[in-house]
Amino acid sequence: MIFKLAWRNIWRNKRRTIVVMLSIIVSVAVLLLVDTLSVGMMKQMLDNQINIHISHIQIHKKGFKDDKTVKNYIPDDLKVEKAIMEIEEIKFYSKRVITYGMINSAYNSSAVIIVGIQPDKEKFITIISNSISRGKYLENKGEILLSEKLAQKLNVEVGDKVVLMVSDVDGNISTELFRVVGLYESPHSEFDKINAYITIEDAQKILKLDGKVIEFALIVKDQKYVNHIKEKLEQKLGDLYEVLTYADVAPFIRIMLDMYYQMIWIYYFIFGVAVCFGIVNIMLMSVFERVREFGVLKAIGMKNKNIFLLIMTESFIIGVLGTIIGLALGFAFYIPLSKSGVDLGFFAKSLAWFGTGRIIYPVLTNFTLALVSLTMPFMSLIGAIYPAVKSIKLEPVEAIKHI
Amino acid sequence: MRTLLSSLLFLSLLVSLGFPQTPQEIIKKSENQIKGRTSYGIVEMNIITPDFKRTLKMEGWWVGNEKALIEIKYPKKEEGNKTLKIGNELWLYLRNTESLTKIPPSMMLQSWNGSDFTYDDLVRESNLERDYDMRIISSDETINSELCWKIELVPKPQAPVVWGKIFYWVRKSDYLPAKIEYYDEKGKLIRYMEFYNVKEIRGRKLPTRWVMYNNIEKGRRTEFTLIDIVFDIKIDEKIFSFRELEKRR
Amino acid sequence: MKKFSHSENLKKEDEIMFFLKFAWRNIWRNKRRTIITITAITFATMITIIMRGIQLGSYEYFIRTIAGDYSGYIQIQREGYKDDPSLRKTFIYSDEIKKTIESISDIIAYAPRLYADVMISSGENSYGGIIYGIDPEIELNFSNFHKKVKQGRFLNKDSSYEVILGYKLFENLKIKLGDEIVILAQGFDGALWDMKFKVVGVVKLGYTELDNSVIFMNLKDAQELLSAENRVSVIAILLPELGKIEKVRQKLLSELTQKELVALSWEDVMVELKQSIDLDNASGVLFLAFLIIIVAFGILNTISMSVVERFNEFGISLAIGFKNQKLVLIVFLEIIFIALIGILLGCLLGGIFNYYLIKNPIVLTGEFASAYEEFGFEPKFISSLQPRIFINTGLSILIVSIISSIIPLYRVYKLEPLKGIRFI
Repeated sequence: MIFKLAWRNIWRNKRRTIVVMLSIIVSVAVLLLVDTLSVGMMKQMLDNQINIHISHIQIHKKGFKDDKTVKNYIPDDLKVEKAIMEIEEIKFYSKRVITYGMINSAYNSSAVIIVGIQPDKEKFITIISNSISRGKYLENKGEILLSEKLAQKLNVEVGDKVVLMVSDVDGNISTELFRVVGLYESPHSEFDKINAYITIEDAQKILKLDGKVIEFALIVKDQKYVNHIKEKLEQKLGDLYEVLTYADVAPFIRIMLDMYYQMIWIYYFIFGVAVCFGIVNIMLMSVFERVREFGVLKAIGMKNKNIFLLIMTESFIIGVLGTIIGLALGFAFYIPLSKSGVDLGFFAKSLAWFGTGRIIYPVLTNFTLALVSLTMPFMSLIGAIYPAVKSIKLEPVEAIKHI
Repeated sequence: MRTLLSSLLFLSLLVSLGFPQTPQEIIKKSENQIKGRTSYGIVEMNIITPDFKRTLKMEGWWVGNEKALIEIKYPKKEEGNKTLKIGNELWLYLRNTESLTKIPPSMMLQSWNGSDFTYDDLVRESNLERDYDMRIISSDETINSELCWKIELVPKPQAPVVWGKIFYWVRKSDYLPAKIEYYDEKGKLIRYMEFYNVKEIRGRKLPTRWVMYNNIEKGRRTEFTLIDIVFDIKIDEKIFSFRELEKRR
Repeated sequence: MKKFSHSENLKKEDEIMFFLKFAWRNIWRNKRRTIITITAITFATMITIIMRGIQLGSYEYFIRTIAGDYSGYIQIQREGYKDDPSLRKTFIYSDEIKKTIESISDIIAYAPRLYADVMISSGENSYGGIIYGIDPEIELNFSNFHKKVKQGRFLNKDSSYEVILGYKLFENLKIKLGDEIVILAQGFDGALWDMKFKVVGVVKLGYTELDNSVIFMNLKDAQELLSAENRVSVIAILLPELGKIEKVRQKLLSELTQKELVALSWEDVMVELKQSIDLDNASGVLFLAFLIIIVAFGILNTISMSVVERFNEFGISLAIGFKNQKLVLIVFLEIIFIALIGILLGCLLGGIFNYYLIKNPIVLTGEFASAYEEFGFEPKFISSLQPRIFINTGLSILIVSIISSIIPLYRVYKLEPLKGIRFI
């Protein structure tokens, strides 16, 4: 009954209702897009870190995180492999050898991080195999995969040779020739500056590691359970090993995400308050306009409570209706954008620095959806309280003054 | 009859001089002319750059490719600084601070004493025969009015060298090196070395001024002038020890 | 004739005063509505000013921190140093340069610095390092290096042959505070020179690259070690505000008589930081633009309602010979009044908040703080009172208010006397 009445009431002054609804529609659509884009940007940053190199979980010998020397190789990689095999939540894993070194061309030299990988397995761990800009992905011994940035610095191209210089496990200097098989370009420019890939066999050879590996990189079936899997691994492996999740390796991004979730409601609140003023305004108008009407309603036995409810319902309908249309509008933008992404090429350098990539794909989380759906209906209720209270207190005599 | 005989003789002489020799033999012979099994020498090094020119005098002992010790004699400020090479490791003894320092891998590609050579150049044993395929591409090139072989050295597939190719000129008259050019893989000349002032020192004829030109940064070059050099003498292995290094001469 | 025009003028003034008074009275006829609208505008203005204040304040703080420690707002360097930061591209720090810098009153501080790649050795362990040759006394007020000392102490003006090391370098060298290390460097003359230094402190700057390699020493020690008497790599310059950069830069360019010297702004030196700030700024401005649009809808509603309510009144006015234009003018003045009151109140409240935040910055603690510190920043929310925040915000809201009142104004303009009366 009240709902029907409310519905009819809000369309009595169409123009007014539509204008206030427009403000809700715009708010909802804007909040939806801004929030999904921001979340998308940070997710991309984190995902890129994971996908470019970190992976979900890394296993090293204990102490490697703080002292990344070759001497901290994994003592028993068979044991680690066995432990990994026993945990079925782990989807892929790959072995790596990582060391600092120098890379040398006829023109120039540069410090590099040399990553020895199992090319076939690494494909399932990181996106480097899909980020080849020229030439081919790493396949064979004697080949090296460089970034575009490093190749430019060294003035080499695909097919050219470079000489790697590292200090092996005994501390002796070791040099070896490699052919540039391909160039990659990841979304993270800082990463590209210093990382070069060779096969794990070559890395073991030049470092005299004799089949030993330095790191296991793991991809799990469901990212949500990394901590659970980390615990399992720690149990199986014991004290001699360190098991690190991506959050342990790159804590900053996770903290940033946490911080974002703690701050974002402020934005919703600000828009909500702005909309609230509009609601108060029109509901108050409509209450004053209808003072006589309320008098009549009261006279025929309508209770104050019901009048109060009527006003609240009217406002709530506006809020809900505006939110639904706003969501529809927001989704009309969001859905195509989530597929095509938003090209922020203008800020390419900064985005490459952060490692997000220049195209941002908005991401809708349940949290965002809940926040964006509930804010405006809630604020429209808040905004209606004062007018609703007025509607009860106003006496027709006083109300007449207002006309 | 006599003319026939003499022309035969002449022919055989020609054959023995020019044809049976492989480029490997020529290069080896040439390298041996300027390097002995062991050697001792006093060398002046001039570094010329667009910004500064400086002169260093050094005394050095070499045992094959394995060990070397170089001590700076001039200028006064650097006198007593020593570079010790053992295998492929480099140590610096610094007189001012009386400290001994091993060059870390990250520093190996830095310039040695400001010259156009890196520490790595000093350490890297240059074994041309092992690392390069060679062929004679000309037998009548003239460098500084000396007739030379021009030999092309192309690195073997797995050789850990950065060069795309090297041209090596060897004087036909005395097998002394005349010029070496270093190219990158695109065929661009990166640096080249020329040998001048062939003189006799202690009974051995050899070029006494060697100049490495930097072709990327024009105007930069490093000159070596041999003041004295002796080959194949007995060198006391003790001088290549740390203890000896720290001893003041 | 003169007199006539004078009285004509007077008449006009009277008329304007009349309109102003009339409009002012009108807006108070429905107090509640006017107050709600003014509150909405005040709110939008205040929020915009607070958010812009925090944004611009943080950028300033950010830039100040980075500029102080690294680039300066402006830095003087030799042409080509940016692409080839080697000793060869250093320059003589002459009295003439000092005089030129000191003659520019906008410059509040300047710091000469000499950078060089060197080798540092603790005997057993040797690593590559980067020397930061600085004047400790100047840096106290210029940079934050001294605040980042984790162990030991910072350099002072009498420090000689003392160094402060990045904490990772310190760990790698496996030494203790007070130990001596040897630094080996190729000097400006090309000569290799080594000196002993005593390690008196350890810093954590928050940049892995620097924490792995930085070696602070007194400028004069660096010059001695590098045989670079009186030479510096850059002179970093601080200004009281960002807005003066271009002016001072041009002035420096024209007054530095040494031909090879150039003056670069921090934007030229740190492109990524500049773009990051631009990105954040763009998203902030966009957000506030939408906020103002939302508020504009509210304004549109209020004006519409107040106009429609008065249609009968307007109709009568028209009928007695009042012109449409004059009615439009009155309504327009009402809008301006409401908007101005809202904007001024918003500016006042926002300004007070910003002032408070400047005096009492919010300093984050806990996990978030450590994340910031990881990157070498103090986790601080600070604000700004730049005039342009107030001017831009005020103008934007005024313009949006006017735009949102176009439709109601048009309806007043098109109002016909009879039609208006029919509304009764």
